[in-house]
Amino acid sequence: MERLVVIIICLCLYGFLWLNKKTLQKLFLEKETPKLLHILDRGDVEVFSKQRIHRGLLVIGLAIISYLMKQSVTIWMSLMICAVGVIKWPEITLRRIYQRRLNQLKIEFPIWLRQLQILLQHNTVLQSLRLSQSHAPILFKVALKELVVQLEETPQDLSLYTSFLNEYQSIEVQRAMKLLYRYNAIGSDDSTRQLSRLILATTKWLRDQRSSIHSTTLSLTGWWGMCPLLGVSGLFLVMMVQTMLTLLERR
Amino acid sequence: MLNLLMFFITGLMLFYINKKISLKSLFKKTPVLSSLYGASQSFFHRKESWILLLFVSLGIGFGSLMFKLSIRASSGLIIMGMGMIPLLIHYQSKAHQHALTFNQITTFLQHFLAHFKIHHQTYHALHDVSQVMDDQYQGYISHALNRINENVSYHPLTFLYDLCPHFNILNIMSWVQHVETHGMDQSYEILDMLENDIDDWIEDATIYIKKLHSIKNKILILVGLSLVIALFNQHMLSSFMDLSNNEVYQFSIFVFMSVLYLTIIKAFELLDTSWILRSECLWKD
Repeated sequence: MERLVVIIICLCLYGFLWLNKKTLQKLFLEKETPKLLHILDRGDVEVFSKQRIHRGLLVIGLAIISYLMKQSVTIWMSLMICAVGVIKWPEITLRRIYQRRLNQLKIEFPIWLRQLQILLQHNTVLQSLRLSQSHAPILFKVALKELVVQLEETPQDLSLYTSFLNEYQSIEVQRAMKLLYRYNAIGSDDSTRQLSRLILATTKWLRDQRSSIHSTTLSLTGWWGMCPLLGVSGLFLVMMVQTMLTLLERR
Repeated sequence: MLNLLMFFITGLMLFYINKKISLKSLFKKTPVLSSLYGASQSFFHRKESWILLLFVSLGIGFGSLMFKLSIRASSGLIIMGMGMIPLLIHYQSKAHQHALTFNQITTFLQHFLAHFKIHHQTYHALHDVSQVMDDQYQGYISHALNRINENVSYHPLTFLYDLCPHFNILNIMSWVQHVETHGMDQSYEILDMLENDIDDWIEDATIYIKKLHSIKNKILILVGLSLVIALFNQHMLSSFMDLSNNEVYQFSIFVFMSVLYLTIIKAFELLDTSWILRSECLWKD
């Protein structure tokens, strides 16, 4: 009788969830997801959240079936955990891809900025931006092309500089773009000083990025030192067990 | 069963080594190790390598005696050790090669900028730089000079960019082009910047490689330390049981030694790290 009540409650709950898929979509949709989807060009938010909730509900359905078929608690509990995983996984993947792109931007942007600084020596900002397009990183080649087109129409618009790559919300990028604007807006008297500041900022940025890549590699490689220690610990354990068995056999 | 597993581990290790370097080339008659050692083959002669292999196998044999290993386990370890040595020498030579490449590129760039400061012309600067470079770079430079004579629009540093598409090289190429077109005025700041970039590049890369080498040494010390601990373990156990006939002991030591071999290989693999970061090389469509 009790089991029947539980089954009816489960089925009712499942039906309720299935009917309120839209509410679930909103509930599980995180604040940053639409922005990430837009940046990474991964399609519509509606389709994205609908798909993952649909898959999650299917796994929950499997969990209920396993309960009905009197499977062990471990199986249906793991299926429930799987359902949460299925719902959360696309979000985690999005974040991971975004983070990878952000890291790539942090390396490639100062490199591109360095090229721009050389071009600035004998060209205007707009002309330098135009010339730098041929060697611009693939990551923001399209954005740079758009910036050049917009600057051709309104060269003194600060918002065009500040909105460049602002979807990545990188302080360094925004700072560099503001410096570039100042270099463009201020007359030739102060331009050398502005350029020097830009050069100094980029030098520091480049070195920081390089040392960050180096330290990541170094910290990962250092773990190989654990192998012999783990090996000898394993050996010790095996031999301890072996000794105990020998002693017990003697008795 | 355990013997079969030992055989399997030996095969797996040899397969792994063979994936990195061709073990077959060791048994060829003609300059055997040239394919393995690449540019720095003069550092490792065939005779010396064979003597080294002999010493290593003797060392492993002696170690096996100390650990009271059976003939089967010892022979497996000796075979793996003999396969491992060419790989370690290969990594050593690779380290030398990477250092040489980086040194050649940075030396060239530094000298080139110094001469360009005087002449303001790439042709003369290249001509002067060729006198301080090695044969390989002299060949590249003379080829570049010939190309300039044939085609004025050819950039003389293209050969270097093809060798290593690092952003510093492209920046220098771009700056040189601008100076040749517009003159040296107002370009000294950028020249300073480029020189500083090269200095920073050298400093950062040197520190990084030094740290990698110190990690390698630390890992090797840990390997030695774990061997000593294992030896103590063996001494304690020998009073309780007959180790030479204990299959579990033989197998455990064999697996432990294989782990140590793998760790040594991985430690030496750190030497095969380029001084030039791939992420700093320019992206191509």
